[in-house]
Amino acid sequence: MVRINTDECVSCGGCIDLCPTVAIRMVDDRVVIDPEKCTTCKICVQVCPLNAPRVLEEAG
Amino acid sequence: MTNKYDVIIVGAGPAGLLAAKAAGLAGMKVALLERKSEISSLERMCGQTLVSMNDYYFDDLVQYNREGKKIVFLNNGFSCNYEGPTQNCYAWHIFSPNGNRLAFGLPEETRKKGDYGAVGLAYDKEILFRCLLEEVTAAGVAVFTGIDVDEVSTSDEGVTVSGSNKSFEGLYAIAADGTNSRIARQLGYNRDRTFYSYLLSKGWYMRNVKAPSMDILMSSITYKPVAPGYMFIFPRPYDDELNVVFLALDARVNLDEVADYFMKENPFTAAWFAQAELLDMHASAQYIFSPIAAPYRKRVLLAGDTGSCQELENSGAMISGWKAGSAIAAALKEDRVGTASQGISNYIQWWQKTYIEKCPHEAYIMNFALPYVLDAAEDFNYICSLVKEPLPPCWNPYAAMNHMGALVQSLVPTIQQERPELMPKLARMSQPMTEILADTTEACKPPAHFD
Repeated sequence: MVRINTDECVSCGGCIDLCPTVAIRMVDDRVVIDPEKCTTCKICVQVCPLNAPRVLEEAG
Repeated sequence: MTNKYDVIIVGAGPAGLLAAKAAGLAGMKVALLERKSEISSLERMCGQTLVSMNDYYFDDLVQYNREGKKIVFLNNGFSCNYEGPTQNCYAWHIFSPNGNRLAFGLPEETRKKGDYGAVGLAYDKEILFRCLLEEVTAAGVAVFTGIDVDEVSTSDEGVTVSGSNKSFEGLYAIAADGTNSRIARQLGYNRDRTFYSYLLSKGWYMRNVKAPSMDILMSSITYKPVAPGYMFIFPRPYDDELNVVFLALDARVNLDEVADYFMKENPFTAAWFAQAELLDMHASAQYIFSPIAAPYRKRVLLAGDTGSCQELENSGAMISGWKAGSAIAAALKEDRVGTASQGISNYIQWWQKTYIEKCPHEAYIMNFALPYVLDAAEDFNYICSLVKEPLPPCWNPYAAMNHMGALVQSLVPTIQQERPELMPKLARMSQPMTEILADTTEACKPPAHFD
């Protein structure tokens, strides 16, 4: 799965709209990835201009 | 328990706020939903400018009433309050990698006309949002923040909008949730759209940048190994501040490398940044699709960037939002009076005439695609070196590409004589955008399940 490194993220929300499985949400103005929905497709990793999403483990 | 509204508007950006204002002023019961908790906070990258202050853009002519502190849309007959600082933008200068200049206007000339010489107007978008929110609240709109909408279901009678464990019922909805709208995707619009590329950006407000001018738009290009990168420098309405943005269409381009190129490597631009102080950072990421041709389906009307190609600029979003809110108010009244409906079809006709026909999206993308055509730094340097006279003062990306096309035509005899090998490249300017950007499109296409 992928997790957002909160130190790098400015909550621009770009990844939220591009996530194909709607796994990324805005919660209390922070970007959060739902581990249940994340398929580790890494679109968010590819697009983030700030390199905030980090791959924790590859999809099984 | 659910709430019943006449119209539910999703997204409190410029389009959603103006839609809410229009429907609220008409006396409709409006809910405005926003996923951020603080509507006026801005984390997403934006030029924060009204472009095209000196010509009709999206069929309207924008006037800034400095005394009355209002942004006025003269053709559509509405205005919004803006009680914050502004900075006129007096020209647009494009610099080739070696610093040759292509000038849309000369600020030393346009400044003489004051406000009427400005091609654009920089403002503080957070203050604009605060002013719009006040107007929307005064118009009786119920504003709900922290609502990340993830489902819109529709029936013959109405719509249900759900998100963040809340549910809202309405007769109509307006989707103003921006580029790559989740609602547009859910309603199946993306299946009919052409995908071109990403638009990725990262940038900072900066102080102490020693640019050629502080009151013009400046842009430049870098040729990275896989695809071009861009720099846009926008004026800011604060002394000694600029808004410096680095962009790419291709996700393989590292924006940090683009920033380093302009700020450290390129001798022409690096000199500007020697003392630069980096303030707030912003970013954005979005897909560029072709626009949606008919922005109404199943009682949901699209406004602003939701249905556009990439971005309509702030003024385009505000116009579209105002017209969408008015169209839904008209539709509600038509339903209640029992008169034949035309409010929504008028909006769709306007959308098609302005967004699709008068402002063709491929002309907009061409602003970014030029270095894909002239695909070597020396080509761009050379073309710019031929331009001796300034082009008309302009910050209308559609008009600018027309000026550019005419310019290239006028240079053809010289280019044919001096650099005939460039002619096949220039001929690519008239190819479809899918061919010009083919390599980037292929590398960046969204997964099949995105539609």
